[in-house]
Amino acid sequence: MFNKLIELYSRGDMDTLSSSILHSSSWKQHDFTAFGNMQIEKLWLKSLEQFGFSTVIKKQIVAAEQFSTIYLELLNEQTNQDVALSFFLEHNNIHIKRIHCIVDTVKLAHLLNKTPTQMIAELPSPDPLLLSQFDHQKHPQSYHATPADICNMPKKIEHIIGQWWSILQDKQFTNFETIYHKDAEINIAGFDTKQNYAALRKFQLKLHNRINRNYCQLEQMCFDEKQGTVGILWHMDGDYIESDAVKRVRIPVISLLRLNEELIVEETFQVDWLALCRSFNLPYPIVCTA
Amino acid sequence: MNMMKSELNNKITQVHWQPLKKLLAPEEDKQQALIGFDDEFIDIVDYIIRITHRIWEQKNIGLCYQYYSDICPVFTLGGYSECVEEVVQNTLKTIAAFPDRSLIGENVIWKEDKDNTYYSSHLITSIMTNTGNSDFGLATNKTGRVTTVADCVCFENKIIKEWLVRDNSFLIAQLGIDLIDAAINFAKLIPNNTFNTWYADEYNRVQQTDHRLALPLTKLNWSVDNFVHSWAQTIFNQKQFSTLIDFYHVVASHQWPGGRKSTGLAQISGTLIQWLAQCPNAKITLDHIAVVNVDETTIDIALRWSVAGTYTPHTARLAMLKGNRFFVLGCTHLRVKNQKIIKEVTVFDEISLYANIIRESGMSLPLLQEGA
Repeated sequence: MFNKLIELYSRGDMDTLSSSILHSSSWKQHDFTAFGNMQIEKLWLKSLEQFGFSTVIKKQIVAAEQFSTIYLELLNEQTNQDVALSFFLEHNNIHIKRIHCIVDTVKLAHLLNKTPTQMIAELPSPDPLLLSQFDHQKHPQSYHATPADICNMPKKIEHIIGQWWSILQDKQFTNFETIYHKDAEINIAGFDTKQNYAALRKFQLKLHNRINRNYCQLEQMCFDEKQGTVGILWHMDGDYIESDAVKRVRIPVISLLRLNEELIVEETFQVDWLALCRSFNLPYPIVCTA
Repeated sequence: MNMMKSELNNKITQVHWQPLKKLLAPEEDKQQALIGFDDEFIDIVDYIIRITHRIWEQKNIGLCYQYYSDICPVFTLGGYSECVEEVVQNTLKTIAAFPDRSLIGENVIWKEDKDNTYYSSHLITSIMTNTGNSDFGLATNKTGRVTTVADCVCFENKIIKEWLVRDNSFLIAQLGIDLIDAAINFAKLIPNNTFNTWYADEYNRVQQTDHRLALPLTKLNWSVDNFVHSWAQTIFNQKQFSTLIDFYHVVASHQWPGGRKSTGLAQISGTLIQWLAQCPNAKITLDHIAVVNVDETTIDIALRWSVAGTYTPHTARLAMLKGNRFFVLGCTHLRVKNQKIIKEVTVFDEISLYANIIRESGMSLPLLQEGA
């Protein structure tokens, strides 16, 4: 299944991937959900035009039953620019039922030599999304999903991933020091260079401060014992405040972690920033990289 | 109210992982008696999937004469029709306005009754481009997606009764049409007397529900019937939102009309509170329950339900409609794993909901372009 995805972007092989797509499959990309072959193929064609026939320079996978994740970095050899994509798939090893693809559109804009504004204008119209206000607080007797609720992992891994989620949901920043390797490699969508965990901590602080009353919600997870990798599909809901106007926003994220000797040694934090700008009519950047 | 069938049969066609090619040419042996149905159909799911494909995707609209009875009451929140001729005409009009409409069958949840009738609840995702004028207005030339649930009573190869709900507010959001404008335009369509009688009778019936009756759910009394009745009573009638954890998995996905998408207890709670707040005295009745098993731990439940109460507008444009009757015909598909909902899709027509309130009020409301 992973190879079929790679063949699509590296060789334009639509037939092989189509054989894994059902009439009722959906493919979400740039916050737009395509249903059925006709709409999905249209998305593929656009992707091929933008960054197709490129070389895979990095691949990270989380292969598991029912849900899997793959992260790809693709190099366009003509421009020497790369683009990064993360996929979260629901599958039965034969067919893909649902796929959520998050493209680093900031990198894509660089590759296509476009400004963020130009890139935003090229993205498909996002799905209508009506976000309801809710109580985001963790009251003593309310229950909020944790990784252990949705994914079977060995106890030690479960503990680390629980602490990782606690950084996001409980804002427990001391956990950075205990669960990350000191030389952990961090890829944050929209950032040009590989970061370390201190940069991730700084980025998350900025994000929490930018999105008021925010709440992080797990959607699905997968764990690959052989690779030592974990894929997490989650999102943050919150208020984006600008000039006293409040916009309720949702930021979908795919996180892919690689662990070694009970520490996180690599993490990708994949967000489609420009699709987010388009969905909620926000200015770019939402979080400054400096 | 119809009760669910207790015997579960997992040899009946399951749509979820099936390629369309296989669904349209099933090779399995016949799984149900299907008395009076054409021999080609192996079970009620196969019947629904294939006739839907033939009528809509192959555009054989005239097959409605073969697969609908001459008198076939069709209930929607927007109107009532009774004969196959209206089904044919409405199908043709929709296909003309949305010529590339595809009907993607997501699920069929069914129940077999003792009188040789079969009840099917068909969850459909449609993709369609609005190239022609329709009840929504002039052609927009935009492509949209919409979720529909068609609940049908099938007897001897024909659909003899249908309840149809469509997430029209989600569709028009993609077409660039304002919800209140659409409702104002829909309100100008005058429904027939049968619809008016049905609407009034249903409203009164639901209002008589004893909403204070406690229906606790415990591990000892867990059954599908108790589960869904407790879900409706505790959450909708009694508004006890901390009990969501008794019904929903902590990462349950929840799709409601107009683009309301939630995951997990906090967001689901928010969606329900915000929606119910426009009708704070809302009462719900479950009008039909069907259940099929998916695997050892998972079942699918189809619910048809009604909500009635008094409208308390949150939208300034509709503020003058406060106190009018608020009535919804809705359908919900639940996937329940280990006794908790992991996925909910709820469908009703928000345009018709507001259109009915506007029409009943007798008021003339301005459209956006008229300065609203």
